[in-house]
Amino acid sequence: MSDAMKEISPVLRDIESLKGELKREQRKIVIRRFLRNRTSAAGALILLFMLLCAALAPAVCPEGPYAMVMSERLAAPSAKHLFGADAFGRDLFARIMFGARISMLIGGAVSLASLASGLVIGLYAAYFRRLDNVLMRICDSVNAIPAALLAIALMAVLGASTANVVISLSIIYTPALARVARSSALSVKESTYVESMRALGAGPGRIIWRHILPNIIGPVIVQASFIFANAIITEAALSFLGVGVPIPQPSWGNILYEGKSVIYKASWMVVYPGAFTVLAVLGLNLFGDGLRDILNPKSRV
Amino acid sequence: MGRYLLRRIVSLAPTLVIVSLLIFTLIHLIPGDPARVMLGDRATEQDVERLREELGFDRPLYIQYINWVKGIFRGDFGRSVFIRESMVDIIGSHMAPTIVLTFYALLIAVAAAIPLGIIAAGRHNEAAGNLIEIFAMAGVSIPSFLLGLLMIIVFAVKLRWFPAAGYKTIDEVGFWPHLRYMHMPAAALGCMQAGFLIRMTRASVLEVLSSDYIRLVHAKGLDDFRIIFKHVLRNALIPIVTTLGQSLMLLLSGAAVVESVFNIPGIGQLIIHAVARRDYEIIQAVVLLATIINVAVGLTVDVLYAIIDPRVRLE
Repeated sequence: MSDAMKEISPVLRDIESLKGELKREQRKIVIRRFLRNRTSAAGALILLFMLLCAALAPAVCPEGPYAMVMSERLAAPSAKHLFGADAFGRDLFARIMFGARISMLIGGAVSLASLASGLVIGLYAAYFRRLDNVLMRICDSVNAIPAALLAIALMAVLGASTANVVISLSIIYTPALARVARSSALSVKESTYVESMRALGAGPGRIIWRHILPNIIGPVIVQASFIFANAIITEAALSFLGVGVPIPQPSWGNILYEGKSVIYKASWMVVYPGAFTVLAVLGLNLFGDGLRDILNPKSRV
Repeated sequence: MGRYLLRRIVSLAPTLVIVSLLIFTLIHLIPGDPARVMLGDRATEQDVERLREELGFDRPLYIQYINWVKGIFRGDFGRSVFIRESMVDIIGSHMAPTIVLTFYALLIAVAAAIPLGIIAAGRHNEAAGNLIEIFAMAGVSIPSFLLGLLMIIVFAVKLRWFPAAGYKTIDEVGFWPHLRYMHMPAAALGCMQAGFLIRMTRASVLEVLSSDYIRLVHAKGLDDFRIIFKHVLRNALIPIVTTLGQSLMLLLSGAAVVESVFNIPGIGQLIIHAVARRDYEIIQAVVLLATIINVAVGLTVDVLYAIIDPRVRLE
């Protein structure tokens, strides 16, 4: 180390610690704004409620979602069956609670998987112009296929199972995330600090993951929360069509599918799982909207 | 304009090639022998062998792909093993209800969303504006098939205003009775897009309202009504037109699911039944045709956009 470097090293250390403090302060501001923003706070609350339903399902309903009581087939909502019972005498409350597990699991897994693959595709497409054309063409092509039909076709080929629902939905939602990641990364890439990192000799991997990624994470997370909501809707639709989560697993879509055939006699089979689906989707939409407003004050009019 | 159109069409070619490759590989990814899967376990080895030859599964994959694409250019989308009709006939007869449903839903969504979006922008931060915003948020959070089920409970089971499900073609019962079967499905399908469009319209109108030239006409003393209809809408509706294309695509996709709520024999029902029978030729053809429609809609919207906003085609 040269003398000059020795001299400025305490200054550098100070700058480092100041940077850390700044980061913590920024994070605090974001969290405070998040809680003060009514939209995002309501969304977070609903999401928390859904996660609690998913986590506590086995504790709240020790009998599980499969216990059948034949004498209580299609029993109306009562103290014993809060939400009524289905055509096999299974408690609907228990099935909806356990259904929350499947919805949260699939929604979470799909948004994480499309986050990971969308980031890789979007960031590399933005950084390497040669890759850009090929990758974006493929994304456009996947987007050109109507989502529901592509999902149905994928499920037909892969076979109905929870894991395959996650795979199909991740394929469908990755292009949307890749597009958001790419367009945000393109503007960050032109900034002077990325240029100076390149001048200092940082490799593409380092620049992409250490210097571009942190600056685009906001819009990407917002997109991921909308994917979470859409994944819940599409999973319910696929299961409703009989090509999603296989019966007798308690997914909200499955319950709605069974509810359709008894819609004249037992409207609770549609109303309660429907209400939970809407609530979960609403929560995630509010969450995403609020987050977007916080991260991008310009969108607030 | 002609050059712009040509450029757009040429740029679609790679997308269509990739789509066809994707769909083809997807269907041929089926583990095991597709002929055996189609016929089931009880079929004899000779039957399976015959079907394999008939469908060309015994040839190399790239030759199968080339033959498939060649067929498409001749209007031959393959042949179902289960339904002895030409693919074009099968899909054509199922496409009609889906198209009616899709466009009716779009009509409902636009007719509701554009006035509501304008009101929400004009009265933002007031009770009316907030109410519309809440309505829009609820709209985008209710999956259309679920809304369809709830509408059946309320309007068919409880109030008995509409038939719960079913479908009659125009030829069978005439135009208005035919539409009677479509009101609920179209409303259910259109609601989510109405929600999106309200939010789009509101944001777009608000943005234009805050621009300088609007401030100028305000200063000139023009009344609000004139400002909105003569000065704001023309510019605010430009982004809405591009959204309409996207809406149409999402509606087409959503129609497949809503159809099965109301037992409408459209494309969605066709593909679901094909999945149950493992009729992969139909799945492949339906997905490809729907994609081509999608791409055509996208192209039309781009052209419309270029007509409305000349800046687009000069880029």
